[in-house]
Order: sequence, then C-alpha cells, then structure tokens
Amino acid sequence: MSEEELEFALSEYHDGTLPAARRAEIEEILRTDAAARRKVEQFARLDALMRDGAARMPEIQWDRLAEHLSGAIDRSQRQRQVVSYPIWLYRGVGLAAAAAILVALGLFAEFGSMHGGSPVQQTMVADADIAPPAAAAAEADEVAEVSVDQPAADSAVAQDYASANSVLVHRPVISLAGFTPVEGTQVH
Amino acid sequence: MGTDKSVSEEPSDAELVRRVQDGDRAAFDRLIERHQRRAVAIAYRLLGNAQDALDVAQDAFLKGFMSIETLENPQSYVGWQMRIVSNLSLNFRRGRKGKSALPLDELLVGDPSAGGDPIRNAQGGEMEARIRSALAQLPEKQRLAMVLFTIEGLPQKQVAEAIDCSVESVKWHVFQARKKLKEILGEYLQ
Repeated sequence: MSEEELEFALSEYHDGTLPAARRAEIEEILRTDAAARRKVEQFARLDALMRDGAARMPEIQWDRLAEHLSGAIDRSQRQRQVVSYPIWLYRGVGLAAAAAILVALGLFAEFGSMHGGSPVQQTMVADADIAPPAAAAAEADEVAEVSVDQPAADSAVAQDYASANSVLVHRPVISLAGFTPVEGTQVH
Repeated sequence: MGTDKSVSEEPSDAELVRRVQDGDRAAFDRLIERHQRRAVAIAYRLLGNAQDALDVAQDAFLKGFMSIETLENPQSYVGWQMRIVSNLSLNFRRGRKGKSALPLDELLVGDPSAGGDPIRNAQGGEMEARIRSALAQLPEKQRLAMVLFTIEGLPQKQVAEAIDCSVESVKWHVFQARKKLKEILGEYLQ
C-alpha cells in the first residue's frame, strides 16, 4: 500500500466509510504506527475546525423565510398560468381528436357496409350494445375524461389521444346498428 | 403508542415529492420547511453572504418546484435539491445579481443594519475568514464535497447526487480537500 493509499484509507476510516473488509487491516496499522494515528487525529481536528468556523450562520427567522419562499412560488405559478394555455384547451384538443376518430371510423364502417362490410365491424360487434348513434358522442366524452386528471398539462394531449385510441380498439363504443359484420379481419 | 403513531404518520420526503408531482402544492411547503436551513447553509458556505444565500435558496426552491416533475426517483430529492442550490451558488458567485427580492431585515434576527456588514458582525473573527478563504482555494467538487459532507453532514450518497458523481468519488474529493486544507490551515491544526 502506497503512502497515499494508506492516507486515503485513513480518511475513509475517520469518516466511518471504510469497507468492513479493510477495517481490521487499518486498525492493525493504527495500533502500531504513530504517524498513521497522527493523521487520523489531524483529520478529526480539521473537521472540527471546519464545522466550528462554519457554524456561525446568521440567525434567520425560518418561519418567515418559509413564507417568503412559498409566496415566491405562488407568484411564479400565477405568472405561469397567465402565459400558459389553460388545461381545458388541452382537454378540448383531446376530445376533438377523439370525436374526429370516431366520425372517421363511423364513415369507414358505413362505407364498408355499403360494400359488403368493414374490418372495424368485426371487432366492434363482439360486445357492442347496439346503442343509438347519438350515444357514441356521449360515450366518447366519457372516454376522453379518463385523461382529464393527468398531472402534467403537457402530457394531457398525448394521454387523451392514447386513451381515446385504446378505447376504440379494445372497448367498442360506437353503435353498430344497421351495420353488417364481415368475417376474418382485425383492427389494431 | 399514540406518539409513535403520529411520528410514523409524518410523510417522508419521497412521499411529499410524489404528492407535489400529483398536484399537491402544499406538500412542497413542507419540503421547504424541512430543507430550507440546509439549503441556506450550503449557499452561505459557498457565497459567504447571507443576502446572496437567501436569494439562491429562493431561486433553488423555485427551480426545484418548477422541475420536480422531472425527478424520477423521489427518494433522491434532497441530493437533487441541494445540487440545484450548489449549482446556483457557484453560478451566482461567477455573476453577481443586482437586487434581491427578499427583505433581509425581516428575515435576520436582530438588527442587521447595526454597524457595517451585518453578516460579518454576526460571524466575526479572523478564523472564519481564513476558513472561507481556504475553501475558496479548493477545486469546485472538492469544495462542494467538503461543505456538503464534512460541514453540513449530508450522507455521502446524497453528496454524490448533489455533485453528480459516485460515492467513491465523493470519498476521494473529501480526502483531496483534507490534504489541501491541512496545508493551508496547518497552523490551526497543531
């Protein structure tokens, strides 16, 4: 062990962070080596000096400071709200996207029925309740609200898209009344 | 038993961070109350001026609140928040700001305007000036390791998070800092 390696180990020993496997070895050195003991003592004196010298912090009224810090955050938040888009706008975008997808799927399905059925019907008909077409929009609203409580406004739109899409594929909500299913197709 | 229960009901830092991430603004006030002393102390050790330290602490908590959603591991909040404090302190030192938004006279106990620099009056002493000067001579990471670990007593893991290095590196930085400080402050160690 070099001189520096020993000194580093003594520094770790002083901090109580020396791996257990090496502690016995260093303790043995300390028993027999006065210079090593002096180094550990110096580390202790230095640490005490640093703490004592640094201990004279000005006295601060912490309660008041906490209030100031909290108030600064509130002010900053208010300023942020003024310049950022309100959450309902994000929600609106999500709802609009969901509605657009529903309309597109409806048209696609209707087009399919006129030409012998569409792939969409195959997956949707399985657990469809044959609700009137008007119920689709209401159901879609319910679906879109799944993402309304997402914490990050920035991710709300993406969440809205994701939840709306997942519902369309895995939980059919569109009325299929009047549509004819076609076999052998899947939607994903 | 009742006391034990009330103690155990005190939410951990990680729990408070999760609450803030879920939109609970008040939970961040609790984090401020818990960690403002350490934040101010670290900034003060690095800047040597109470007004600057308070300004940095304010900026640091503001930044912390604004970016807490990016904190993936709530357990590492303290190290993460103190890294913000350290970075702002070092940057603040390089480019001093003009005016403060914090009322120093309201926040300091006693009369800070009594005779010259209030902080120097509160601290006084040649020793402190020597220690501050010695710390200032250390490379950045050694200085931060010394302040955070030796003076403020943060666990090495949190120090590692604060200065963005491994625990082993923290030990090495502390060791190197000690070697240099022993040379600089040798006369006080006899």
